[in-house]
Amino acid sequence: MRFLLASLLAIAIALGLGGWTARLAVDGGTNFDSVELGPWTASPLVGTRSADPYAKARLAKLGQLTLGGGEGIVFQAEDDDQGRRLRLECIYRLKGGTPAARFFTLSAHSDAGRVDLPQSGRPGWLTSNSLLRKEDNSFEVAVGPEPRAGNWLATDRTGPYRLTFALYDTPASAITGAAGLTMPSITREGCRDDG
Amino acid sequence: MGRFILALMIGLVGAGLVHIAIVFMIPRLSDNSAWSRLSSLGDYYEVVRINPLSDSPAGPMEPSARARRERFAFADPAFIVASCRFELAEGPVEITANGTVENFWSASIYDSQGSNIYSINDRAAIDGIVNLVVGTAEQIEDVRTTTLLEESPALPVIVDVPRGYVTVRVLIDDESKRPTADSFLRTLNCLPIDIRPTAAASGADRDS
Repeated sequence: MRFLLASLLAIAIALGLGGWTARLAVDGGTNFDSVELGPWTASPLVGTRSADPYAKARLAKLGQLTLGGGEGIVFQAEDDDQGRRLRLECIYRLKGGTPAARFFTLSAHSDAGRVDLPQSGRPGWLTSNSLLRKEDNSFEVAVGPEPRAGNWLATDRTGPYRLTFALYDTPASAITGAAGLTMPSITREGCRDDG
Repeated sequence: MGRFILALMIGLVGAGLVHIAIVFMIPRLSDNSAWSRLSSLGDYYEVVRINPLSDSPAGPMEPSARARRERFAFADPAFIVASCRFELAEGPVEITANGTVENFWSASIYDSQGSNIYSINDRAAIDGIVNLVVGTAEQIEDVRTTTLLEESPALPVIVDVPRGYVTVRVLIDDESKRPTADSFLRTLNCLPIDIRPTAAASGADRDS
């Protein structure tokens, strides 16, 4: 009887604790290979064979199609420059330049990977091909629910989100040699109250 | 008492093993992985469209089961994407689209677990044409000897997986370019190449 109880205890601990920690590590874990540029993070190994087992499991649960090295690299930001979580009801200003790339796109995604598309007529994504630039080739983009002159990425609804900055046809050095690379800064300019 | 401490120890070691087993099994078993979704959207060599998972203001209308399967997380809304799955047991696969398009395009090949194993963009492709021949080293060699691959714009791609999937993305940097990009992507074709004349000897037993 005591042997049976002891065995059951061992099995319960193995399955319960093992399953729970696996779920925790896959769902909540961060990628080991991330490259950080200010508030922006990229994980160049995710979606390749060199990804760690947790990243592979995460990818399989999410079903995301990652970009290959010959296509580009994706940076995401969850926070502004001051470390506050990005929110859809807030207005942000992105300022600066990017690593060398043929072009880039900017869009907003929820944490579950849903792209935030505003009402029709409002720009739900930007590509650098239609971006207004300054004389020194840098740019400013306003991100938020209220229309702005110049470059504007419209957000809709409320809640936390991520900015997704995808650089296409970019040299591999942009991924490996982080030195001297810049990404735009993200400054919060205010928030709507109805959030 | 000692017996329960032993049970606790065995349980902890077991938990470690279960943890590792689950993490390694998820890529094979997940029914939400790109491979599982693409499998439910179309058969091998069937070209399917992939859309971004989105929060559009269209309202709380529940998308159909198929629409849910073709919407992928963290997709770039500036692109239209088509994909097809392939199996190399039936021979190498040729991925082609008619003509060229002025928009940026890129193509990726993934193994069935979602790892990217090859990618290319319009500038790296020969003449900017979508024309890839994907196969194992042996199959590519067969294609080389049976056809005039040197004279065609086809780009040979050697992979070491038995099956996988291809995605082709076309940039829509301006809404006015969507119709041409869309019709270009419509001409995308994935077809197994018949190389039987020379491969018959080695490949005849796979035909069951």
